[in-house]
Amino acid sequence: MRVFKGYGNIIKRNIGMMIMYICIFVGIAIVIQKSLGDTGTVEDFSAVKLAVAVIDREGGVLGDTLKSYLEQEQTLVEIEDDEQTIQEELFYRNVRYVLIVPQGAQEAFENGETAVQTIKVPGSSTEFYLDAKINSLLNQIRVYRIGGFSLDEACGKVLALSEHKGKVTLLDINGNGGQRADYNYYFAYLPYALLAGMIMCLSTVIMAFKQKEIRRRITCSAVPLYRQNLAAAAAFLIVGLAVWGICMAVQAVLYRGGAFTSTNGIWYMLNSLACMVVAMTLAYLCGMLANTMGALNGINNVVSLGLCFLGGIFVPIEMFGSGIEKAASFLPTYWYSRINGILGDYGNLSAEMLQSILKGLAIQLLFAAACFCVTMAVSKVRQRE
Amino acid sequence: MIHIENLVKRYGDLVALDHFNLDIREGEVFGLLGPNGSGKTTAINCLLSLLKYDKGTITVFGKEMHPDSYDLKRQIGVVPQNVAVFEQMTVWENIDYFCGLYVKDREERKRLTEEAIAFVGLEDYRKMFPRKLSGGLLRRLNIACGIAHQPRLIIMDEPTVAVDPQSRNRILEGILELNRKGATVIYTSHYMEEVEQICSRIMIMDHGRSIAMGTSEELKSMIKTGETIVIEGIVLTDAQLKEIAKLPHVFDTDYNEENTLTVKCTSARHNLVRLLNYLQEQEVAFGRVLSELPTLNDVFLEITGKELRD
Repeated sequence: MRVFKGYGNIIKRNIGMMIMYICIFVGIAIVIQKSLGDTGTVEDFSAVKLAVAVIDREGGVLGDTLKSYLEQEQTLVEIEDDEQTIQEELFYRNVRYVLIVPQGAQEAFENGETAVQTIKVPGSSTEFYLDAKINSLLNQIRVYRIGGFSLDEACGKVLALSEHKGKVTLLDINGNGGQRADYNYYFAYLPYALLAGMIMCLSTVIMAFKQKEIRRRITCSAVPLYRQNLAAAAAFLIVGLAVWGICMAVQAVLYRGGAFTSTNGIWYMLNSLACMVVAMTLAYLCGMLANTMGALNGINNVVSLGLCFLGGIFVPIEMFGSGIEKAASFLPTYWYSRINGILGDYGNLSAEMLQSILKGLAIQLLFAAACFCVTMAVSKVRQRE
Repeated sequence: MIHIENLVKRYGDLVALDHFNLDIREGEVFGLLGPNGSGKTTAINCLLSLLKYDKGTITVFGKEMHPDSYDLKRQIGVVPQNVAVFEQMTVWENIDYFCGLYVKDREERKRLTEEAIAFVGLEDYRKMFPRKLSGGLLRRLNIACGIAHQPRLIIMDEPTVAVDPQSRNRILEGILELNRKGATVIYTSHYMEEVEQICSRIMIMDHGRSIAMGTSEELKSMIKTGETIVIEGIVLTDAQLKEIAKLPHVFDTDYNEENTLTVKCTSARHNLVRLLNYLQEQEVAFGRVLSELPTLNDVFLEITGKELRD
């Protein structure tokens, strides 16, 4: 009990540092959530309309059909039939696409040749989009022509067909209109607070207890080694659970119940708890490795920031190359971030998603176990010294 | 109380303790004296089961000492050479913490902590953190942490290293006070004056072995030197120097370029009077005259051929 109280005394002295880290983290999480999250829910769908100019030099039924068809889905813009004007309008993006129906277009079409000309912004997505639309229309007319319809009839039928519009309904797969819940952003950035806070707070305690002379004095005492280790583990566990509990309470207060109101709440809890276990074992390891407060600060920054950047906590992992993603898959923060992504994107979890979440949790706990083993090895080496 | 027999401890090829034997009786202040690397701390570490040894037996309070001999450890207090306290705890919390490693009862612990604070004179500093204390006060806190549980056996490993004279005297008086209260003390040091001042028996160690053991007087009687006479500012001829060397009980003389004469005599009466009478007869003028009785350093020097602080 006395050893436990000793840990408690030293932890008490570092609690201010821990609170500071949680406050900084909560501040950052709120700012990021406000800037990224408050874009409203997506309840409606409408296709993008592009500014398109049609220059019909022939004045036939084919040109009229193309004009009418494009008018249905795009915004038609009138421009002069002049090469310099066309280039200027495209340059200033007043129009995105210019369709020219030249003289003899119908004849060329009937002969199976290229019937229309286009001037567009090279390499743009609109180029491919509208090329595909126009080709589709011309192909449909061609099919009707082969079927024995006249060009007028074929154009009429295709236009009539294109007037039928499909109804688009958005699926609300996460119960929040497709938007991630506010508390999901909180959980997304939580690992940094847990890692940085726990390393700074608990490693300092480890550093105090591993001093050679103090270790010697405690070893000489009447307290068995197993009881000393038990006391240390209990103290760490209580601090870890308390910090985790505070973090959960903060999100519940900030977001009116937060994850507690979600159907995935239990997974949010388990994921953050696994992250806390990782943070505790890393704190133990860092405390064993560092000999001075300066060194501990350096190790803390490298470990907490490094894990958060490479694990996709601060920046989405997709922004890095596939090589980095592969390397990141060895990090617990990567799996934390993946689980948080799934929980944010989906309201009802499929069996596959559950499997993925369980795998992520298991990998985090395995990482913690590996970390603990390394710490034990380091501790043995240090004791021999 | 403590019996160590044929203890051997090796670090690779280096023999740190070479068939080391030791017997300490209850109520003693026992001094372990020796230069750095002589094996004092290794012997203490083996005694406390902090180190595994290769051969030999260690018995404390009549029982064999093992790493898990917690009933024996409960009766031992350790004051390490370097200050071993928590920077994050106050003076009171530190003493209370280390006392708590031995004493479970809260009330008793509180009483013992207060007594230890009073014993080392840290009453005015109980709420201060160690970083605010001076070197001497830190040493006192270090001692308080080791003795707060009022152990039967106290092991002090060079507790006065880098301590100012005032704090050193207070610490030495404290050790004698602890001994008067019934504690047996093992005191390791390479400061021979301290050991001579407080220890009832002394063991001189070198190369992991005991080279001499006994009271201060017993150790000094083991050597030839009984008195060393130093005369400064004296001018002598070779003939006069030869005459001095032939005086009764003189067995060694040294006359250096700074005109200082050192005469070593065996333990006998009136050596100084005889020498001064001879100089008067010869009408030799001289300056300051010093007569020194042998020290433990002389004992060590004569036995090993080197200085204790080498």
